[in-house]
Amino acid sequence: MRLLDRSLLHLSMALLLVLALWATAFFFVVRGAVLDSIDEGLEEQQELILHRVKQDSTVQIVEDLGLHGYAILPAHTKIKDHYSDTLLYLPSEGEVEKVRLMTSGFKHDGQRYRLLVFTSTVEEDDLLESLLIALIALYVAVLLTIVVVHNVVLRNVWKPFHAILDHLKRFRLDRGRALPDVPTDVREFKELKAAADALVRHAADTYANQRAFTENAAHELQTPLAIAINKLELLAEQGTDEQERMAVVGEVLGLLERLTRLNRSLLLLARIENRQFQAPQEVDLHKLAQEVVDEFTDLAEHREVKLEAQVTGTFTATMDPGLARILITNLVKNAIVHNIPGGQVQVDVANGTLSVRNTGRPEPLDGTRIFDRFHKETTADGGTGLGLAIAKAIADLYGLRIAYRHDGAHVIEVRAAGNNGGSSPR
Amino acid sequence: MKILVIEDEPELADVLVRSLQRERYVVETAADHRTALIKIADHDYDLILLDIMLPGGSGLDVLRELKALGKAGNVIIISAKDSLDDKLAGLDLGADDYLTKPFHIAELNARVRSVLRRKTLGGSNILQAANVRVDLDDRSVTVDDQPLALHRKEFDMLTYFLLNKERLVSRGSLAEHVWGDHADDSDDLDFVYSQIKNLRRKLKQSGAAVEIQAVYGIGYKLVGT
Repeated sequence: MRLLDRSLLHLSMALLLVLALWATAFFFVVRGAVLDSIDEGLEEQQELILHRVKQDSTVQIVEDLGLHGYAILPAHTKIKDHYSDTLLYLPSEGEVEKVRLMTSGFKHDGQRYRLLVFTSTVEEDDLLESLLIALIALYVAVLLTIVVVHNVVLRNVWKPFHAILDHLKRFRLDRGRALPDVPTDVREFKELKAAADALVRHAADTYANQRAFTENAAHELQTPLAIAINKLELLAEQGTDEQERMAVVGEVLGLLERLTRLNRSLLLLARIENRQFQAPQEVDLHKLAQEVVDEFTDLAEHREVKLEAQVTGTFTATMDPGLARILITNLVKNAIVHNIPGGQVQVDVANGTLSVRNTGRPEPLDGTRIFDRFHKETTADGGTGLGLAIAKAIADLYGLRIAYRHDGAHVIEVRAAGNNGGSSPR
Repeated sequence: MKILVIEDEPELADVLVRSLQRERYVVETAADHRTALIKIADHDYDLILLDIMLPGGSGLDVLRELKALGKAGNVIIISAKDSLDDKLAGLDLGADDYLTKPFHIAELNARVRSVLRRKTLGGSNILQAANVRVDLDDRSVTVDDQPLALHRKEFDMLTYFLLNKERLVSRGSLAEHVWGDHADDSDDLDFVYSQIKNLRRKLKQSGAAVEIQAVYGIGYKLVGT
């Protein structure tokens, strides 16, 4: 069933109910008013007759109501004024008609009498009948209007919706990055269009990222493979100098180890993104940070970098303990490796935040790109270019916020989800 | 010592066999699920190297069968899947260790030695080479019964060399074993060198009859003097 038909169905049923109720109420109100006016007329008539009766010395009994338009009959009890609808044969018309009858009583010379007066209500009934017909006509007219409005006007109003739907149906990720414009001033359709646009943009961005990632990964694998092959070819051609041969073997081993690390990193990234880590638990990041810093003391010393940890608060997160260690390890290692001799790495843990601050090249890095996969500022270090991407993937997985800033030193800060900076209490 | 290598990749099986034979172990191989089940039913092995992904069935099934036969001890799982679930499942079924492919031969050697030592020497945790004696339980080293003080990392390196006596230990393998999986750029190999230098000096000063030789461009080898 189309949306149009459905709303029409509901509307016509509701309308029928409302109009029926309204017509009933209207009918009774009008009828009441008509009867009131008839009753008033009867009263006037009664007063006129009474006035005439009181002028005479005797009361003349009038029996034939139909003929005279009124009747005066003797009564034995007191009679209260009352009205009734009844049928009466009218000799003047020659037929039985509906009439409104007023019965009242009066006293004359100690004798009680009953006075009956009536008016025909045929015309009033005709009036009510016409009213009903008019109401039914109104209902039909309203319904017809709604049908027309629905089918003509609303069909036009819904056009943007169908346009958006059509664009979505025809959208292909590998072609085009956005949906065509659909002009509309209806708020709901604007929202729908905005939502569809956002969805498409996100899908297109993700797709582009994935494509770039695959290409980059292939390239990163390609380079060491090419070098390894060439080195082995050289080795095969070379003379018999033992040392030279061993050197080549060592270099090839190094390249293969680099490939191994790259592959492990890629698998780790894939597993993080496929959410293959299932048993998160409470991890004390402040303790873990201290442990990681202790582990890296040797490497920092070797690189002539001063590595320090300062824990001034607690930072507990619900996550996989292995991933938590990888997150902190990658940040600390990154800070040590991309440093200068005589430089510093400062790991600070306050309530709900962990920051790694390091000296390095003086100019700020591109904060939007350093978490990108394979984004490298230098190519010489043989790193995989995935360390910070993995850190970000882990942070994202557990709703932690990670950001880079430069304030003379390079700072990467990890914050708990509800922590907006500063040292807010947990 | 009899070792069974259950591995379907012939190249890798060959490397494993040759490396283990150099350590004078008797080595047999099984390339698929069925052969593996027959061999474990018919023979007793001191150690089994078990690949998880096998043609015809999972290595975990082999492990279950071993457990049913009461032979589950002394299994080292070697798997390309670095999955915690598999690891836990394997260790739950009684495997001793879990090694993710690719691995260094030196690392495998060290693990094989550890498992066999636990089994054959009745849990004794002493490594000895010439006059150097390493007690793994209280992490102490003596040379000619004189204690030798080593840092934690130096101790780990020496242990690794003793487990790979007379064999080539690449710098990458050493770095990974001692410092973990995050020694991943060329500069760190110099870092390994600087650590080795200290260990060598201490061994020499204490009069140890072993020496860590550099193998040019690749790594090191512990040899007796």
